[in-house]
Order: sequence, then C-alpha cells, then structure tokens
Amino acid sequence: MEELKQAVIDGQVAKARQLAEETVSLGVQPTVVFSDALSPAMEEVGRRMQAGDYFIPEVLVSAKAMKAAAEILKPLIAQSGATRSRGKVVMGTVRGDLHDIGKNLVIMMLEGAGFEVADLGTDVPPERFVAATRELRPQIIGMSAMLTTTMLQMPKVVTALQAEGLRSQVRIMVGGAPLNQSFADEIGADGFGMDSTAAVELAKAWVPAE
Amino acid sequence: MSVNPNFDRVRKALLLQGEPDRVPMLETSIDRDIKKAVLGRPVSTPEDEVEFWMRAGFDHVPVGIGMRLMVRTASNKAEAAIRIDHAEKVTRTARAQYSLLGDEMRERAWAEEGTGIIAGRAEFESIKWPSQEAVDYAAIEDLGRILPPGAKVVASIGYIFATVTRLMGFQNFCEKLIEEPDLVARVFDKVGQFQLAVFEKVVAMDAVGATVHHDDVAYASGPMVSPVQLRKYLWPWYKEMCRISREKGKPIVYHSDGNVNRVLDDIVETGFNALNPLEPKVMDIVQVKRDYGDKLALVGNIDLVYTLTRGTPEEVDAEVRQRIRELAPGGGYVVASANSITEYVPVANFNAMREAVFKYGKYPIQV
Repeated sequence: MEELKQAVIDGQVAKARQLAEETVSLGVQPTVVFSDALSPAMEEVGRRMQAGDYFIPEVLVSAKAMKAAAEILKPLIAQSGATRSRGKVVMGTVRGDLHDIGKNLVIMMLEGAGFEVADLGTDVPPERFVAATRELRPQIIGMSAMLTTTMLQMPKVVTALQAEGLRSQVRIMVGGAPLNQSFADEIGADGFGMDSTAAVELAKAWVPAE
Repeated sequence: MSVNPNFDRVRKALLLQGEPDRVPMLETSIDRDIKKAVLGRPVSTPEDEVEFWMRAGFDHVPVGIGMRLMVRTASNKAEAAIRIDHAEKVTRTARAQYSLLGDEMRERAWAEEGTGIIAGRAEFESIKWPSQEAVDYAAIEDLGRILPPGAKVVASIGYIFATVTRLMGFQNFCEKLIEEPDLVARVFDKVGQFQLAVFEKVVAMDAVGATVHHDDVAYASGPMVSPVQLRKYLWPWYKEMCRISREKGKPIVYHSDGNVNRVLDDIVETGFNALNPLEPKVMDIVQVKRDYGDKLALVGNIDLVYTLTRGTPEEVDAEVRQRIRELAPGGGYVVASANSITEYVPVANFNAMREAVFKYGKYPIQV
C-alpha cells in the first residue's frame, strides 16, 4: 500500500496500475486501497502543490497514476455493492470561457478525495448547470472562470438556480484566476477556492466523510 | 498630449538610466474600438495606426511579429502568411458577451488546452514548420518610413513557451515534460531557434526602439511549471536575445501574466531590462520595486480586474497618481495597464489613464 501511494505521488502510471492489481489480488478490499493509498497520495500531492514543490505537470501525472489505479478498483467496488462516493459534485467552466485545466485539476483532486464528479465541460450556460442540478442532485456545484468578463456569468447561474428553487439544495464553490473571496461573497456563492487544494478542503468541510 | 514623441524617455526608463522628462507609457495591444473612439474613425491603415498612437500620447507604435501570430487567429495578411498547417486546431472559438459595455456577442479564439497538433513524436516529425522567409517584416519597415521623428516601433516577439504549449496542448505538454522530456526539448529548440532568428532581424532594424517578449509562464498561484524546467528549456533562448539587445543598446522587456515572484531572480539573471505587466492581484509592485528596482524597470500594474474595467475615471486617475508617487521617483517605472487595453475597458477610463500620466508624470515628481 505504501508503495502504491508512493507510485501515485511520483506519477508512475504503469507502476501504480500494477501495484493496485497486486494489492487487490492479495485480498485487500478495494475501498481500503482507495482510502489508505490513493486518497492520502492525492492529499500529499495537494500539499506539495500548495507548498510550491509540485507544479501542474507533476500533479497531472500523479492524477494520471491515481486514475490508472482507480480503474482497477472501480469495477471491483461496483461488484461488491459498496458505495465509495463521499458526495456528488457538478463542475463546469462558465459560458464564453474555454479554460479547462483549472477545473480539471479540481476534479482530479476531488476524485482523489472520494467525491463523484460530473464534469459539464467548458462554455457551460446557466441552464445546463440548472438541468444538471435537477437531474443529478449534487451536494456541490463548482464553477470556474479564467476571465474578468466571463466570471460575470457566475451570478447568472446563482440567479438561475434561485429562480428554479434549487439554490437551497446545493452549496456553490467558485474559482479561477481573476476571482477572490469578496467576489464570491458578492455573487452569493458559498465558497471560493484559491487553488484545487483549497477547493477540496471546502468540499470536505461541506460534505464530511461518513 | 505628446505631439512630439520622444522614445528616449521610454528607453531611459527601461534601461534604468535615471529620470526621463516624463513618466512614459507602454502598451502593446489596444482594442480596435477604443482606437476608433480616440481617433474618431476606424484604424485601417498604418498611417491611422501611427496617428492613433501619437495622438494618444505614446512614443511608440507596437507591432507583433514571429510565431506568436501563427498560433493566434490571423487578423491581417502578414499574420495569415505564416500560419502553419492545421494551426486552426490550436485554438477553439467561443461566443459570449465579452464586453461590459454592450450586449453584443463576440467571437474569441482561445488556446486549445488538451492535446494540440503535436500530440507526440510522430506529429513532431511530420509537422511542416514555417520557413523564415514566411516572416513578413514589411509592417515594421512601413512604420519606419512614416513614424514621426522621435517615435519608434516596439516589436513583440516572445511566444516561445506559449507556442510550444499551444502546439502540444497544455495538458499534453505537461505530461510529456515528465514522461518524454527529450521530445519537449526538441519542440523548444525548433520554436526557440525560429524566434531567435526573427529577433535578430528585428532588433537590428533602425525603426525598432525596444522589444517586448510576451510569454506567460505563471498563473495567479505561481509558475505553471517548475522554475527548474523553465531554466532548462526557456530562459536560455531569452538569454541569447538579451545578450544581443545589450550589444545593440536596445531595451528588452519580458511580459508574463500571473504571479512571477518565484522566477524574478531568473528573469534578472536572463538579462531582461524590464518586467511587464505586474498584475496587482498577485504582484506587489511596490515590494518588487524595493527588492529589484536597481535591476529591473517595471512596466504596468494599472488594475484591469477592477479599476480600468469597472472603476470610474476618478478611480483610474487616483490609481495612476499613486503608482507614479510610489514608483516613478528616480525613474524605472512605465505606466501601463496590467495586461492590455481590451474591449471591456471603457474609453473614458483609458483616457483617464493617459491624462493622469500627463498630469502627474512630469519629473521631478511632485505628487
């Protein structure tokens, strides 16, 4: 398990996949592999990124290794009927904005922390956030914007959720280069994440592990 | 308004040669609607372009050249001439109401972030790179003929990191940086060599007073990739450009958005004379001036997130005044927006910025 954790931290994709296979073939519960190796590995990756030791390339490759291992575990978890998801998050980059990477990093880190994430992609209009909220019943909606102009799409999503009577059912987190806490407060979001680690911290605080 | 352009004031400030006669201004991109509003007619010829920049009080006219034009949407013939095959796949367009001033929907092109046209080795081998002959220097030569005495061209080249990441797609680039570093090195070599050759021609032209190198390497949180990687792949190309600039006695300015605090020493070490645009949200320009003021001239910092876009002309005036008071004494400060003058900057705010420079920027500074 320790070796698997290290392989994810080091971004060794093939090794992580192989170690995940070996670990479950030894009879370790896949949910335990997840909680004791993959999640702590991604937490460490997040710590290193916040400390300024890891940058996006390192994080992406770690996330790739985490996913490779998770691909081995997921079907086994589904077979056993156990639920692994800590909570559901709907994520998207707002209308007019095609910036993908910041949002993807948050998704990878959320998945690492055990959340199930529905990615609506980029250039997402308010009505798609509303439809996804109605359909998937997430606890959290995450919105990303990289531009001072597109960030102004965010309050439109908040208003649309209010108009549909869905606002009270979800917590809203926002993030992206031009944003700050006061903008998040101003538009009536529940939280602002300066980076992907901060976003995951918010999500964890909102949806505590059972 | 400067009817007598004097690029010497820009040069003096950028080269840290003490106080010029007035705090200079330096922009490399101003939206066409703002130019139209200032000029009273659309800017469609090189003559219009010169008239706009001179009437607005600048001492230069900016021109973009080199590969940066290849990986952006072409807006004129010179740009179209050096686009490479499938370059359209480097960007995707989206429609939205980008202006804060009207409801007009506009189309904008954005860099493709996933995988670009160089997914791997095979694409790198087969890609048809543009030749140096495809670079059209006519725009600079034309300006050289029509610029009033005292004014110079500021050429934007840069775009080494930006071109590599756009051609490879940022996510793919990041993965290859760790998994196939030799491929990344080869793409950098290809792009770096091309840009260096363009730079050598440009910096030798009499009309060119300085060069600016737009090449974003940082997000609001810090560098996009490790400073160690930048030292290995990127800075050596600029180091050579800086060496040549020194020989020519022409200032060389580096531009990166985001929080570049962690690479400031590398920027100095590379040999750049000045840094732009110092985004106020993440760069404390007063602190940078304190720590690096004897090594780097500072260009920019007039806030685009609030003041220039959503603030009032009075707020713009106050911010420019404050920056001049804090940064201009002794020289080494050039007023500029914290990125560029985009379509969502109200004309009144753009005007307030330049008027504040004329009002408060005369040396000795007395504000």
